[in-house]
Amino acid sequence: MTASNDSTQLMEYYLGRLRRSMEGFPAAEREEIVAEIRSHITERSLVDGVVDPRRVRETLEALGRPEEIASQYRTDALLTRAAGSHSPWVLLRATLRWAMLGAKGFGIFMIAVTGYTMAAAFFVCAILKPFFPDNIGLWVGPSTGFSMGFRTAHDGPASELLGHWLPLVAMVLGLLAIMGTTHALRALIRRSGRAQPRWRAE
Amino acid sequence: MTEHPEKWEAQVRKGCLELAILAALWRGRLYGLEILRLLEDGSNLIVAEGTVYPLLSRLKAEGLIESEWVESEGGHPRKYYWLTKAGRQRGMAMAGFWAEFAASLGTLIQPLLGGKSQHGKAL
Repeated sequence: MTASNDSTQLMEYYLGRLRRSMEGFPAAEREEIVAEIRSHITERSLVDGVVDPRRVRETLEALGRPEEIASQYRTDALLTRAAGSHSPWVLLRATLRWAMLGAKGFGIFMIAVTGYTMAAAFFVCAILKPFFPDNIGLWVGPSTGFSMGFRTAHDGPASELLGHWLPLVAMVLGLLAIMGTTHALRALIRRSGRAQPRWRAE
Repeated sequence: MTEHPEKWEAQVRKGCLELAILAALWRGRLYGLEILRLLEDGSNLIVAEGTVYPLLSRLKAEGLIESEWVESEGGHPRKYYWLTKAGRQRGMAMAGFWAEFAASLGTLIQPLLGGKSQHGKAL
């Protein structure tokens, strides 16, 4: 029965690759997917009730690469999770994945990057203000216009508006940028129809 | 001819797969391989068979189908799917759109199927 052992090994190798490509999925969900593909391979390869080694090979070929299957599951799962998540990290990862699929996803990913970068910049200003009190501020001047950030005397005349209030104001603005971006992304993902909340699957 | 006709064909297939699955499930409960066999019969809808399973999972997340594991006589378990009410409605809406769409496009492309251009040159 070496032939049969070979085909079993081949199938287990394929399922192992599928399982590895689905790292990060809830274990129960991952095992259910593996079980369904296993059931497919087994039944597809039966000839007169016995698993036929050649059929196993053909079945695996027809299925396509396990990494590709996992990637399709992952995109939908990520977007579904992101629609219910408040974590910038989850939202960034989900929209990056989406960005690779088309123009709409790319646009939404750019919103994510811009929004979170802006938030990060506000936080950096708040944290660095005590160390560079004369360089960080909310500046108004002929060359700068109206902006928050780092500047030196070389950048031309400008007056600072906030002083000691800057860390607090920058923190609040940073938080607002995070919350606004997160809110917008969740709404955009939900509206796209690619990710429906699980509770609707009644 | 476009530069990548295969790519265009793959996109059309992908776009129609959802409707094809809803249509296959119209007759009742089926497991994945049965759905695949129905799609294979006399059609070239499927490229990689593995794409059907993630799509089934998405249709389930959208509430269009439901699923349940059932032990077969052969001893190995099968995951059966069936349409929910929302799935039946979506299927009918998609089928209606498709029939109209295919009819109007069919009329439009009729001359191309003869394989001759207006100048009478064979392609």
